[in-house]
Amino acid sequence: MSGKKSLGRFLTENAVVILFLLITIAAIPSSGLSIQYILQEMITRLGRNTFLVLALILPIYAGMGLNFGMTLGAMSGQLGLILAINFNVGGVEGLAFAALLGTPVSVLMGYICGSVLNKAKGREMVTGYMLAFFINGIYQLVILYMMGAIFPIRSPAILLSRGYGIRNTLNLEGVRQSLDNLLMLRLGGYALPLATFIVIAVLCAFVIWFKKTKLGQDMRAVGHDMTVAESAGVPVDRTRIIAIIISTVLACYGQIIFLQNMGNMATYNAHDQTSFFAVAAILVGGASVKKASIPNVFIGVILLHVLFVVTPRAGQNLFGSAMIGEYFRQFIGYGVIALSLVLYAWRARKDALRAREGLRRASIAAAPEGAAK
Amino acid sequence: MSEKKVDPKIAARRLLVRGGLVVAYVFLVGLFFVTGKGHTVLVDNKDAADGSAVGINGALVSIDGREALEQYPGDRDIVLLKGQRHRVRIQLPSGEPPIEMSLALPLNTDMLLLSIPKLVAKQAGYLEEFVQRDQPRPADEKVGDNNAFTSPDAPVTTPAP
Amino acid sequence: MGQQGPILSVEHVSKEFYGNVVLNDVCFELKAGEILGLVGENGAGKTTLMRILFGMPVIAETGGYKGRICLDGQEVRFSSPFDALDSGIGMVHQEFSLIPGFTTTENIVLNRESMRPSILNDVFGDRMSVLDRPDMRKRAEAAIAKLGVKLDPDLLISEMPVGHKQFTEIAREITRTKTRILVLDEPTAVLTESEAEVLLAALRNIAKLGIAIIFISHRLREVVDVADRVVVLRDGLAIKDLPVAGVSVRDIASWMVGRTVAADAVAGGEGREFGDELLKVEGLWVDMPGETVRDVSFSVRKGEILGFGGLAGQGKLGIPNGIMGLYPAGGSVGLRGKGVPLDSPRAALEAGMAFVSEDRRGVGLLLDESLDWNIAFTAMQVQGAYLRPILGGLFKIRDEAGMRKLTEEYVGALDIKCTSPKQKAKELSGGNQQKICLAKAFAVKPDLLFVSEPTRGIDVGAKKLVLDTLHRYNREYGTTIVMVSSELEELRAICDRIAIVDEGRIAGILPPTAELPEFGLLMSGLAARNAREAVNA
Ligand SMILES: Nc1ncnc2c1ncn2[C@@H]1O[C@H](COP(=O)(O)OP(=O)(O)OP(=O)(O)O)[C@@H](O)[C@H]1O
Ligand SMILES: [Mg+2]
Repeated sequence: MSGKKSLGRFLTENAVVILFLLITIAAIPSSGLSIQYILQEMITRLGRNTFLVLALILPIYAGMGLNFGMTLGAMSGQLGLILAINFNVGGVEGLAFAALLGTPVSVLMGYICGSVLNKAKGREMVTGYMLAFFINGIYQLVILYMMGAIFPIRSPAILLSRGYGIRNTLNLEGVRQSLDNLLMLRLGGYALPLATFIVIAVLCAFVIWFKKTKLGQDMRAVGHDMTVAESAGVPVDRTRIIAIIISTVLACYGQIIFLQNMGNMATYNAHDQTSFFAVAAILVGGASVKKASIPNVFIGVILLHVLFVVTPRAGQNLFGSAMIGEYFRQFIGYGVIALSLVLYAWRARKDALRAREGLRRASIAAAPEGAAK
Repeated sequence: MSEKKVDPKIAARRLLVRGGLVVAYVFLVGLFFVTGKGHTVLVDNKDAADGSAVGINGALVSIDGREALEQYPGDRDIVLLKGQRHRVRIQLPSGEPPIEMSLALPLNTDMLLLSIPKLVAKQAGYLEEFVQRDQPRPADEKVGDNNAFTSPDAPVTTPAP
Repeated sequence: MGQQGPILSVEHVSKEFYGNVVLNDVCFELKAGEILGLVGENGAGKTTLMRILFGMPVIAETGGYKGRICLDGQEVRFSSPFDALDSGIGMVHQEFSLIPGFTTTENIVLNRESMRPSILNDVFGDRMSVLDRPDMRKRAEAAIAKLGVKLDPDLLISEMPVGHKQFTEIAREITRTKTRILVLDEPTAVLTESEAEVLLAALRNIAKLGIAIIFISHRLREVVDVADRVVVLRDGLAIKDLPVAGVSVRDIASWMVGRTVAADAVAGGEGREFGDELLKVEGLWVDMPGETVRDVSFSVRKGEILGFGGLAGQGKLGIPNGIMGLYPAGGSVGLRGKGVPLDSPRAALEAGMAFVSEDRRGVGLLLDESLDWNIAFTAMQVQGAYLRPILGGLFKIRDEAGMRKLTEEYVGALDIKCTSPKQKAKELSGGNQQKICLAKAFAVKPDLLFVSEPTRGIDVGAKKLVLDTLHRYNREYGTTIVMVSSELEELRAICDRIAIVDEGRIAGILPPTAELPEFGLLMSGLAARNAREAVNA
């Protein structure tokens, strides 16, 4: 009986994950893709996306929800890449160059974002989302009008023919997959970008370590109860800003890793859906607005991307149009965010119910124990 | 809060470390700029304009130990290089011991012309900057409106995540 | 160093809130290792005085104070509680400031965690240090040991009974190495007598370490027990300041209210006749943290006053909270034979039940709203009272005059100290807020009224008023009352039957005239054990 109970509990706790697993398993056969192909795709996409998704963990830890403002970091990373392309700095050095240039920009962005979110406590998510739109406007202004006009651009190849503004699509030839290829491990037909995975592992280690620091503990305190933390002397606003800054800087690096793998960059909208897909991934992985862990990130990236790989083909095979799969992908992305939020509320209710059941059992168990005395 | 009470020795050390980091930051930006800077080198085997050197038939040119380019008169190959110091090795068909020399590319150039005949003839000016005149530019794409919400072809232009 | 000059002296401190004088030329001194009992009626200004001492921002926001506060002879004027903490003043507030999701240890050393520097300290500052959890635990254990109480250092606060939360807060204050003065504002209000005993012993231990303590309580017995000196505040004046030796509870009580206080309360149930069964509860269980109810069945008849007593943490508080739908609960509850859903406070209110919560900050009041609004709110929401239709019933507006009259009635009946019915609830003293909660419930004119700890935090004089009011409502309007209290005396004063709750179950029901040892037997759980043994045998 208790086995059945704990199974039920497992199901409700991991409802999103299980639902996704089921959809995915159902879609794999109709896509007609080989397991080898899907596995290789997963390895690639883990390398490509995990870093970005990891950037979401700390703000959740600090009680600020899903950091939609990470888009700001993505934009900073793109700025760094544009500069690297402009100066024709290539290879891993080019990536490091872009990351170094992107860092101060993303710190500034994170600071701005954090300060704004502090003014909107309790509504961080929607505020972050809107802020990303606003900063996107500034980004476009800089890239589309100022670059080449106010800021000199060396390489005419990346400019629009009118002489200023960056081209709509940038070829990242010089840095393409340079991190992935730095230590490419070939293992039984699979290509494993070891260097990328090492970078991700280092970040995971950092997150785990960070939670053990004083700052990490402060973030946890702030996440649990801001007023109590404040009255204990924890600088609440500062701590929250730091959480956002770290997240933004990580998003900057994450976007650089993402784009080096893609090999080209849609200058004006590569960042549009960065936060959106990262959030979808971490939610699919079983995280909630209040709780997220490193396993959530990996599970989420794998599940979401298997689905992304599989649906266009499944759409092609089932409906004769890959487009349907593409739209399905968008639909899934938004759908999963909504679904997870609803399920989160539902799960909270379930938890309360289970607690009550436990109470009932304790009451039955207590009597004979007392009688034995 | 905590910054207030640090003792001066630690404060001094922190200043040093932080200052060091700023220096390291600048240094690293510079280092990656220099070492990662890409150059396009056109390995050229055409006769010199003044006829002082003529194309070599069947020279094997290898840069930084890469696979050798087999060149015949009038050939021009493109090599992409990173960084400024490189080694060139030229094996002449005559069977003499190969010519080896180091090549220093000026930092602020993107495209260079390396003339093999001149180099073999030990003439000055074997390496010169190459300025493209009529750059064929690909046509501009539409700017700014391939947004997923507004444009029907969005899924095609947006990189797959 | 005990015989040196005072470490704290309060000199001619006066404070007014918008013209309402709350403290008037108060002076007293405090020596190291001394325990000072600070007593006074509700609204006498005790909490205000401590807020001044602790540099709480409310004081500066409402115009500051007059007079001087000196530490070691030096005048201090704190602009924030952090300055006060830095000068060695620790304060345990009337409401808890603990993080529920943290363990005891984490709360005790909150923001003063033990740390080991990491390499990133030099880059990003001290906050990159790594927590030294074993050491944190050691410090927490040391503090707990100093208090002389039993606390699990690894238990989450959310899973603790209130008493333990109180100890956790005190432990936190004494882990500060600098703490020389500890202020406790009604620390025992949430504790049972036995827990309070432990706390008092802990305070004596702390005082022996040389820490001076200011102890505020309405339980004068405790003040007499633990304090070395007592200061009595009345209407903002420090009217007495003398050593406790030789002073009786009765003396203090009469100084507080300025007249002699009758010791006897209303006489309890005298074998009255009641109507039909009004409330029937069967197999009730309630998941209220620290006050779990496991299996409770009882019935109340119309016009009756039923009391629930028992030790803290045994579940007596869970009973009304569960029936009113404030915590997850199950079982069956029937009012006049009709079932009442257990998860909807609104349904409970509409069925004709009202509840005065023991938690005066949490569910009780709309702190930012005015008194009349607070008192009339529930009646308005549930019964549409105090709303007048205008424009042929198209809109409804509040009946301000009616609300005002209502408020004035209760301000009089319960002796609520306030400047006007329009004053904000948060500006009242703790005890007066509690009275507002009572008035709010009375205003609904319920068939069945649950009151939980009605006199907690209420001064000796006003206690009788509260009990009298309950009694009067019962007799005049026939209101049925279920009262939960940890003070047996007040249960015995007005209840017709008293049920003692033990381990989440009713251990037995006694008439108020029963002997004290009988109650004690039920509370100790012995009766239940005996009964079980009898069954087993
Ligand atoms: N923020 C405020 N604004 C206006 N008046 C206030 C404010 N805070 C307290 N008061 C008034 O000051 C008086 C003293 O309140 P205080 O809280 O000091 O009483 P107390 O002695 O602690 O009473 P209790 O025993 O009920 O806790 C009360 O009449 C109260 O209405
Ligand atoms: Mg008070």
